[in-house]
Amino acid sequence: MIKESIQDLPGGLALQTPSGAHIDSTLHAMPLQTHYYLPLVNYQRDVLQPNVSVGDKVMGGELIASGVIAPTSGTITQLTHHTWPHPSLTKVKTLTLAADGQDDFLTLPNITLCDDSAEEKLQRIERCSVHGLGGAGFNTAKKIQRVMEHNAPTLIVNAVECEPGINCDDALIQNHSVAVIEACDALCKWLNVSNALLAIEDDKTTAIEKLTQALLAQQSTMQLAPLSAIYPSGAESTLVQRLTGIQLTQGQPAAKFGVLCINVATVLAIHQAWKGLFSAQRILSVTTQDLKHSVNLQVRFGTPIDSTVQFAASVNPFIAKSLNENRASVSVGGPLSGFTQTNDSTPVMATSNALLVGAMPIKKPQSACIRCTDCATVCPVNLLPQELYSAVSAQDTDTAQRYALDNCILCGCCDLVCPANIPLTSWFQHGKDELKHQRAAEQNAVMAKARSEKHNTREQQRALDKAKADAQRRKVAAQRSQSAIDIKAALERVKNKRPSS
Amino acid sequence: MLWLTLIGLALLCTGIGYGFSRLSASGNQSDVLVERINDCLPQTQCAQCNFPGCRPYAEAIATGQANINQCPPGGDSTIEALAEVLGVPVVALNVDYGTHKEPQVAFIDEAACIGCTLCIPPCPVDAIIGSTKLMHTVIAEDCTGCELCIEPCPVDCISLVPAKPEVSQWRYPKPARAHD
Repeated sequence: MIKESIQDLPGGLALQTPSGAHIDSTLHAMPLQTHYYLPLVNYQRDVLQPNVSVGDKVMGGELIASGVIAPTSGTITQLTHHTWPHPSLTKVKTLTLAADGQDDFLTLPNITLCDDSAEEKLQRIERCSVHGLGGAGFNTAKKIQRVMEHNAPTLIVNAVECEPGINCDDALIQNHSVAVIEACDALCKWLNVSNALLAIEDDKTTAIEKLTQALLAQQSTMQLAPLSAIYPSGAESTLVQRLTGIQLTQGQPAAKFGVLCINVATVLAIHQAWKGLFSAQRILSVTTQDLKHSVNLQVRFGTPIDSTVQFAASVNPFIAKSLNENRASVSVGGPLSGFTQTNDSTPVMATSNALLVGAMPIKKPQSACIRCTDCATVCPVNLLPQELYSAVSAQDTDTAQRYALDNCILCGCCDLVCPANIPLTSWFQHGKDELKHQRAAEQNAVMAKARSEKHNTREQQRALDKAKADAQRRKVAAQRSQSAIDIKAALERVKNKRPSS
Repeated sequence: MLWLTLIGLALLCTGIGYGFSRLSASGNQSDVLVERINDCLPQTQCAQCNFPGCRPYAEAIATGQANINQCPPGGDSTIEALAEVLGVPVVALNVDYGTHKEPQVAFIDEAACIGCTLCIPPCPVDAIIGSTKLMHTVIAEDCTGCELCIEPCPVDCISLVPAKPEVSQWRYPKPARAHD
């Protein structure tokens, strides 16, 4: 029941939660809000077209754009540009939904494991808008579809968080361990999974205890895989490598190798979708910036961050205190993976797993790299961040690619240990985006070249055809004028032959 | 001894054969060079370099009739790439040919368009669609922003707009450095 002999993470950091930290694992459900903001953008940053117009009445669960559902019933009141939780702090087209207070949802029939076909199950997952709740927000139906090409795949249920301040998966398991195991078993049965693992940090003792009880009660074949609490054990590529030995390079999904690596809350969302429940909410941790106090809330997607933080403050006085601190701000995500967001009506989305509230730690002054290689020691994917940094900061993309910039998982470990306080992860994020942009530009150039070659060939052909037609016309005209001369000459001869009268 | 002679002869033959194959390939070598130069160019086909497109410019560079700093849309990165291919030093962009601009695309004011079709043939990448006395439009994804459609338009309804920095094209900014 417990998987033994798990490989160690090659690098990583044991991030200590401060002593005297108090994590509230009760799930506090947020009351219905008056307005929800639904950004029309997906996890790949593609802009989506709305299916509804301003003034339309919608039911909870109605598809208002591809992959976006209404979190409650109400009226669409606006289509404006609004901020969304993203480090760019840009605005995207966003629908505003004014709740009518009825909270009516569309009803969908139950999907049963044995009777309904695989297509119906997949369609239901898509229809209920189940997205990865771990942090990347991947389209779950697409992920599963890829795994289904393999016989007897491996299932890795990911409940590893490791970043202090994020404990939503822990809270979920502590409150719904039986439902989680049921959902995992249903998924195993459906996909004919050969090897099912549930990865969790070994210091989450309450959650492990509850899971063990649930596994026994359900007579489940799932194996628990307790990992030492080293950040970033929860990152997909490192997790897959440690549990299956398969080495993934960036851009290669685990699904390609028949491994379904899926967040624990997402598994539960799939099971609930089959029962007709829409995936319109998530559990979110709100933590003070000093990481000492944390509460877990059940929040619907589209809830403004300021209301969420207010509600958390009403539940926990320490959060209220942090909120009133000098220079208090809100960041989305954990202390390493997060980014600062202003405390405003920016909505919570599927990828928002935590909010940190309070005064940000002051940035220490930067100095030049002393090539101590501390960053290389902690890198969990065995890169050489010091080399990558010099390549990326010199805009040398070829060298950056040689040092496998693509494989960087942007975990932030190197930032934390750098004695020169260089923002290495920001550099790598910048380098990755530049590389992506450069590849897109190259792709566009190839397309433009092909189109221009076709255009030139066509224009040349047209010019040739025209020249040919002109020549033909001239020839005909010349022939005509020649015959006219001939006739004239003949007439002349006839005239001359006649004896003059 | 006989063996050694035979091996020597065999080596000589291989050498001669190789020489012949090199000689026959040298006819295509300038093509290969032109192709490599062309691959460094942004394929905007804007003719700002005073050649009628990227390939003619590449041919001119290959034969030494043009400098490598005549391509404003490519900017510094194109000059660097060309310098590396040709093994020549990097030089600054010659501003006589224009300045480097952010990516842009042509936009037709559809209400003002009279459907004259004059802008269609100059477009080097066939990115304009329209027909006689019917509205024309630009396929933004295919437009290279070469500006060649601007001049032929009799009613001046074509303008260039910045290729919209949609959120999907957003790039993480460069962090500040210690000595910046």
